[in-house]
Amino acid sequence: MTDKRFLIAITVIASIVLISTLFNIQIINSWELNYMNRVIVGMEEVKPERGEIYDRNQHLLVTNKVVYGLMLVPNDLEKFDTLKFARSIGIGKADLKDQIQRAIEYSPFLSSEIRTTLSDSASLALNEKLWKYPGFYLEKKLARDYKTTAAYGLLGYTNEVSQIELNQKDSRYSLREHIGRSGIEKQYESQLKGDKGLRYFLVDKFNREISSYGDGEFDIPIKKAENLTLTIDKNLQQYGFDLMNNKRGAVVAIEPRSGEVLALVSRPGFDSDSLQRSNDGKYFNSLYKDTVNRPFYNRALQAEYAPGSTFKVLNALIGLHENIVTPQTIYTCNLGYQYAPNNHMGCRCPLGTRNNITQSISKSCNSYHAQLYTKLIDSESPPEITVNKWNNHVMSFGVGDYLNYDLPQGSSGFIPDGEYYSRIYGHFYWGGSSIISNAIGQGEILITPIQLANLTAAVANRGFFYKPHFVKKIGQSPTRYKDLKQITTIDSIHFEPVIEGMCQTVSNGSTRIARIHSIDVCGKSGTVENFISLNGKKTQLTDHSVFVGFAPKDNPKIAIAVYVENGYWSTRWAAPIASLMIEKYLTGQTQRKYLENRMLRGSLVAEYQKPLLGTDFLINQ
Amino acid sequence: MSIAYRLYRFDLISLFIYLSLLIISLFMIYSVTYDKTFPDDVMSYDSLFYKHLFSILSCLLVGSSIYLLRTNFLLGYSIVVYIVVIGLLLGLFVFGQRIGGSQSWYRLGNIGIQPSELAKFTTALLVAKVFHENIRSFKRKNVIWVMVVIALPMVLILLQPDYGTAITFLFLSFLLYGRGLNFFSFMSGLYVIILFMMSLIFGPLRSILTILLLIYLTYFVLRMCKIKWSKTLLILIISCSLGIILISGFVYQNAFEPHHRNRIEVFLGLKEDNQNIGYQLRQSKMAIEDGRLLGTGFLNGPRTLGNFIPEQHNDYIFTAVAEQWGFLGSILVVGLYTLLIYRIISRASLHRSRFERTFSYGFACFLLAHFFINIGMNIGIVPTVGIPLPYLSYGGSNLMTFTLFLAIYLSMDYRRLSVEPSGTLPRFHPV
Repeated sequence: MTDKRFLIAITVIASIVLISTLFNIQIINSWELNYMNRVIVGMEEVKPERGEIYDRNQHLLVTNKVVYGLMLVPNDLEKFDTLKFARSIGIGKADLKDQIQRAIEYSPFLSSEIRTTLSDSASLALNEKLWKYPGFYLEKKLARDYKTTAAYGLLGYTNEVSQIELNQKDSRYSLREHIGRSGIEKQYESQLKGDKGLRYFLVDKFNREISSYGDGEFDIPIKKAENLTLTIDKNLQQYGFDLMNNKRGAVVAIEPRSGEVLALVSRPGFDSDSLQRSNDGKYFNSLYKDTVNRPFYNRALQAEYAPGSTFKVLNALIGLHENIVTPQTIYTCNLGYQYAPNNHMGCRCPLGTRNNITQSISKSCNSYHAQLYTKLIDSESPPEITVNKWNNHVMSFGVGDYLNYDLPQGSSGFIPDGEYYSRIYGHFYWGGSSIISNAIGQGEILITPIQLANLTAAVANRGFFYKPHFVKKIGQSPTRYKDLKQITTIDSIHFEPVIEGMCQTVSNGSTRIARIHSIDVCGKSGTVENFISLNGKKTQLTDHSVFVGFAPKDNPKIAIAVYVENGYWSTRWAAPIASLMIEKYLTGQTQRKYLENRMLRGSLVAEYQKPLLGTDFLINQ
Repeated sequence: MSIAYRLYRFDLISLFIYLSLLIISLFMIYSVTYDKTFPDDVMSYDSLFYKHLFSILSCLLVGSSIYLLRTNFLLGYSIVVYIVVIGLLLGLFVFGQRIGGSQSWYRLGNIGIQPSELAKFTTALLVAKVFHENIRSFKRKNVIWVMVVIALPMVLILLQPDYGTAITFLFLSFLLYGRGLNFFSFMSGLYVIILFMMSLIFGPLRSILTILLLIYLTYFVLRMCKIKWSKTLLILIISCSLGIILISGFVYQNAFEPHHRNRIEVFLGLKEDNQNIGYQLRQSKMAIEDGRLLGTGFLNGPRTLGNFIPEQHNDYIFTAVAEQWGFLGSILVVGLYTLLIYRIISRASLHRSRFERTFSYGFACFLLAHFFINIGMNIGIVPTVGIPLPYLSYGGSNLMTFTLFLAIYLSMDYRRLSVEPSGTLPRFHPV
């Protein structure tokens, strides 16, 4: 039967053709079997929420919140009341029209940003009446929610990542993501940010998700953002911030036994929330261009001031250690010290006062320290050697050093050495009397408030300190700063007379206003002469008011440095502020309301305006 | 008759293949209908799966009752049903519903009926009758009759236009093999098609050069083997080839509708098409490819789940098998069809009666046509023409037609040993 064979042959040929083609396609084909390259698998970035920041007592400092941006699809626009709308989003009518024009030029069909972030009240109000304005819509986004206004300088701020950062090679950022710009937000960016993950999923023909792809085996898991626990005490920080109202300056409080920074206040400051909402850089520019108040200048970390009399503590310790003086050594103060012919350093001690080292601290005797310092420098020749020795001692207290703390800002300060003076004066042409200002913390010495606080902590610890730091725990794991113990070059036995002097400073010496009932406060005041160049002329301004202190005397729990620019006497501003903060920290409350109110309401704005008015002015009133 | 003898006489294997294909079909329609987001929707009463289940059950019912029919009833009424179906096909131009560009459906309430599917059945019957009535002397006249019987529904279907179904009727011409159609004419038909495609792909000039080179090479090889060609034949082949190549462009431009030209061009790779047919073909090929050896697993095929393949439940049901069950599943399905067709052909050849034998051959031809064209179109070796895969695709008319075919084939096969050759009155055998 031929037709049977023919039909069977055709059938077999057909099935062989089909099977071999199927074999080719399904088993040995050369197509790259990679779902990722095909439309069928969708990909989604999974972004972790930025980490939260807590203070040392687990009070929330920073978290995330939802804000709204205003977007526009120009094609959907209809006629609307531009003036009313512009008012409701808080910009001018011309601005709005300009923005709309730009959006139209960009694309009539794609959405453009009109406002990056609206204020909370504006977005709430707008949400209700947005239906009146077709084309506009609100876009939800995450922003930082600052629970305290007092710590902006410390916490820093975030804002949306810039195009340049997005285009960088291996950029971990995506559009509209926030990036830390300063402070803790910048320093701990990688921990706070976490790492975005990728999730693959199967999509149907309309690109809708059906299910996860391959049970998630190809997914890149997100690295969760870590929450930070700061060493800051929220209440103390807030209190310090309030006390520094209307003043320029800085407050730094450190826990001596751990090096944890309890408070870091720098005023004037900026508003992180406004900065992250900044739509057109106006607020940023207003801060950036403010060369008088310099809000971005973190005075606690960056400002290099002369330490003033507070430095006498260190010089006294060095004198004791180098055997220049003993605790029993007495110098007489004759209303100052004639350190060179026609050169007299004044002192506020009564004529003929005999001071030992403890009294020299408590009474802040200039002539005692001048004599000590000249004797120290001139003890060996050439003086470069002794200055370098002195410099070495000072540096061991963390002064003149960036301190390696965990904030991205800072200054080293300046502690001169022998070579520095030889360069200025020439070899053998200088001696102790040439650099006598260093004895009382004026002269070439420059120190930042955090160094001053750290120095105080080292004194409080009787000879060692931990590097100051701001973060206690990253997630659940504590930071390792506690291991970085630094021992000063001064033997611990020399501290007692000096600390006794600091104690007497507060109890019956120059700064009795800092005395706190039932707490032994040790402190040292400082009143720092300072000069600026005004119209090319060296002009003296009102003295800076400085105070360093720690408490209690034994087993110190807080060391503090307060620096109030142009505050005149230490006892006028710095000492009360330090005292109130110590009291607040140790007892949780303050008894001296009158003092507190004076500090809170006191303003130095008039003082700061003096050199700007262009008229002659008086200082130290 | 003992039950064992009855079972021996009955073609159990074909029935088994039929039933397993139906079960595979149920699985596949389920997977195509299945939606991961709304998994319960598959079981709702208006889902494709339920409709398919319903049509399978009704086909089983109808099929088993048709099985009881006597064959001489069919012989007697074949001309009547043929004319009725031709009438239905004609009626389509008036009452038919236009779906997807072709007017090939009657709609009765919720049920759609496609007369072109029934036409396959009736045409096979009538062709068998023509063969049967000319047992002794099969002349050229009869060949023409057979051709007319095949061509009439084909032309009507072409006018709908439904090219896919029409093409399957061409496969009935295999029945003429040995009676007017021999190996040579079959091969020359194939040769013409290849020439046609070549001239479309490579253009006339290059095709002519290639063909001349090939003929020369063949001639040379045959000379080496000391086989001599007659010069007349050589000249005839060359001139015919050149003629076909030269006119193919003209024929192609005038005989085809633009969208068919489009399909052919996409199939031949002359045109990149990522939207319509090209998209479908691409998706179907990728789905088949993703199956690899073992498949992605049932209800796990991304392209089946994502509804990427248009008409997957219909013409592209094979992609669901290939994706979810892989190469093994594909072999299974291809193997089942091949075995079924082989089985039908080999058992049909045992018939003493021409009518029954030819009818079963016709059934095999239609099955082969659907099987080869459908799967070939799924894997991209045949141009895209819309015809379903029998027993596997969703669609009642097609399933019903092929169930009728099978039921009658089984019935004829069972009665083969008990009945006189057709023409005499067989006894009625209830099973």
